[in-house]
Amino acid sequence: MAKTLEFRGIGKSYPGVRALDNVNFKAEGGKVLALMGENGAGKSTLLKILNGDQPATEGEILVDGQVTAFHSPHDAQVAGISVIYQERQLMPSMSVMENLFADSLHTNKFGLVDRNLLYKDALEIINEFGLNIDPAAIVGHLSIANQQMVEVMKAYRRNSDIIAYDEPTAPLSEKEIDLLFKVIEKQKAAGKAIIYVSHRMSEIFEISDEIVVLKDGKHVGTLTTAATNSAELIKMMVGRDIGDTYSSLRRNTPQEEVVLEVKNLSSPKVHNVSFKIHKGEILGLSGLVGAGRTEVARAIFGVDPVTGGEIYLNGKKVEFRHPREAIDAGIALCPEDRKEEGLIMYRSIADNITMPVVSSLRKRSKFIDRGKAAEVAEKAVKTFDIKTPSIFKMVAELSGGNQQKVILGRWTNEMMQTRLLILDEPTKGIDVGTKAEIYQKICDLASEGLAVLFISSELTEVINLSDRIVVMRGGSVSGELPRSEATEENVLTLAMAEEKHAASSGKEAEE
Amino acid sequence: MKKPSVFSTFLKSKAFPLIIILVVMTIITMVVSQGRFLSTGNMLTVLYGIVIQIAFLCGIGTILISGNIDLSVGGQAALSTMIFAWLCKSSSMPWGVAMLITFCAAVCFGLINTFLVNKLHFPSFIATIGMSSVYSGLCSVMNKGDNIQIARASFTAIGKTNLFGWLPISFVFVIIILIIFQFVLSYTRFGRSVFMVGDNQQAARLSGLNPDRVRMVLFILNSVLACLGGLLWSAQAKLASPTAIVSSGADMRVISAAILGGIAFTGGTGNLISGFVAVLLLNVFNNMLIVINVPTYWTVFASGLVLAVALTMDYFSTKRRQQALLEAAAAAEAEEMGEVSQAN
Repeated sequence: MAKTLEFRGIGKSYPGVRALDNVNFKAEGGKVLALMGENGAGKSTLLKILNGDQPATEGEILVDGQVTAFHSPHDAQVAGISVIYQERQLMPSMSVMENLFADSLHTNKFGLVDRNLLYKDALEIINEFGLNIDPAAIVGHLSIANQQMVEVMKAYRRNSDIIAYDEPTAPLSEKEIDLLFKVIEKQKAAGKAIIYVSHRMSEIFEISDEIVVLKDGKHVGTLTTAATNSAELIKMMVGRDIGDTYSSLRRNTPQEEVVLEVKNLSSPKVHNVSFKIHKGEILGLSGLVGAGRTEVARAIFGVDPVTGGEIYLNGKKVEFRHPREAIDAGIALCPEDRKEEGLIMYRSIADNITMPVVSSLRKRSKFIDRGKAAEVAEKAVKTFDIKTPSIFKMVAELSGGNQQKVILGRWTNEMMQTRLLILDEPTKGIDVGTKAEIYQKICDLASEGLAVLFISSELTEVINLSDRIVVMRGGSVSGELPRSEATEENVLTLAMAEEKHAASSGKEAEE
Repeated sequence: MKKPSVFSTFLKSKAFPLIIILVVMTIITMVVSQGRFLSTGNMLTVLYGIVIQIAFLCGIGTILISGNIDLSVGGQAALSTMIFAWLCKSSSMPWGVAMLITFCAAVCFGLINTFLVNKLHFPSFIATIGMSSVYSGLCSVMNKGDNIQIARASFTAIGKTNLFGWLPISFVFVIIILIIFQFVLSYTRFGRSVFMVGDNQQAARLSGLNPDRVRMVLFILNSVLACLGGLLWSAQAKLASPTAIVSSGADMRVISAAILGGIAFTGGTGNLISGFVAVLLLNVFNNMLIVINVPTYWTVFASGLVLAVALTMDYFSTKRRQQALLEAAAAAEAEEMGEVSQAN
């Protein structure tokens, strides 16, 4: 019997962020509904609400026209909903069969776990998929692709009526993708409602019947797959306002002087990386997650050990064994995880801004000149337009965008002699309006003569902000693009050159 | 699939090297102590001493496998004995009834710990270290810091009755409980869910298990076992003491033994039998120091050293295990690539 699933007016708010806003759509049995949208569009949040992992703040979910409420993943499973997670959710030290039947292990007449029966049933599913996996093998010992297939089989064996796949093919090779698609076809034929989340255009067109597009947490439209094309989809996903954001930026002009030169840099996860950054230049560093971008930054900043190659700062060879040495030489790093690595959350804005310069804020005595510190902090708050009533407010109370501005204020205040600013995903989790402000600040800083290394997973932002883009893949540089040739396609081709799906997918990004 | 033989599984388990160390240590002690070590008196001292520890091990070991910890076991055991002794002293109720009431109190301790961890979301480490002071403090309050004598002969008889003159009944009793616990862990749905929750709590939850419920059951069982251990201890001592159990370090020694026996701090792996061997090892080690007349001051130091060594060993074995996992995964990947290229 075909089931239907309906989202009605679903909304989800986190403190300071509106992740989903009035999402309405319906998935019907016997059809595959694709869910598309940029990073942060709210796809994963929607699935978390669907499987009862997190509650929606507004709206309701209807299964077969009945309003249902899930308080835990268990509730959702009982209602016939299974979700295959993008981040594999497996128990690595347990066997394959125990992972498959975690909540319903077979028991014999004494109520004890019946391993033989468990083994038999697990093997049956594995054979149905045509895989070569031992049901008694420890999941952590399997290849990543097979682990992903275990995740798929976990949902398959529940025989749920509504099945959601969150980017299931990311770690799979061609062979397994074929297997997976056959399974999905089979589930579709059996009248199950399938929700399929993916960034890969080719897959969407191959497997789906309908496409729901989300953007910034809003449902922007539902398309029939047969009646649309990738150009129309991208237009819907990206929208127009982003283009406006970039075209209104006051831009910098790079100068001749080279600030940083990296020659054949190697560290445990980086191999033979070479590039130059000029004064006043924004150099974009792109690539898929895990391509080694952050690791390059860490190696330059003296966090990770450099195992080979050289780093020149203003023509002088440098070797940093500790971030302190890099800071003293004029390098600043805004890390990706600003809450864990960037800020001291429960200290004031002033303390966070003056952190690297406290030792030069001393009076003749050994005590810190609080007046001077406040002055520096006030000035940074003004320059970066940090929205706060006072410099003594705790950083934890600020929004993500303002927290990021505090970090920028720390590295670029008058007490610092920063020459190279490394930004690792500086706009992650920040709303669109503040993003535009931060883009402008980055351009301003470059105009003032700072060299900027800009790492980002958001393609549009790297392409529109950078003067030049270096693309990485598997720990090495796979190519360099000047501003004039920087298009999403060119960047992606370099980022995934060896991945088979690269040529056909119009837009690929990573969460 | 070929099932690995029981023997090869044993050779690979953590218990195997521990048993070898235990045997070597016993032989050395036998030689050095000139027979004093193997005397019935000394053997009984060792066995009496570990009764409470084995009771603790069943609870703490299981909690560690689930990825949690309970540091309030000693405090709970002490408070249980104080409640029991106070009931026996101040009323004429049969000691069986007093014991029942004490076990009910223990269930409450478990529920308090559960509440702190499940509802207020304290890490179990913080929650139970805090409660440990509360329980110990209550012990002192109950009788102004003094011991309470237990004058019920039929109860205290449990403590020092031996089978065949050398095997304490209480020891046999806790060993049976240990075996039941290990059996439940290995062969029941609930037991497997303890491992799953300890291995990856989020994955277990997303698979439809209820980690909060598992934790509640474990905390309650643990408190009941702490109570049991305490009662068996006071049957031997014929009194309840507000401080003796905690200051004997029984609970800490059990945690050391569990880790030494291969129950990872991070949860998901290990078994109680290896933990039991480790308990034996630590106690024989301690007894050895006494029998060969090492000054008491040094025994504390030496026990600490053993824990440090155990943790270091755990660190390296975990690292090696992870390395092996990575290599196995890489090998599996390579194999698949080979298959694909052959297919093409």
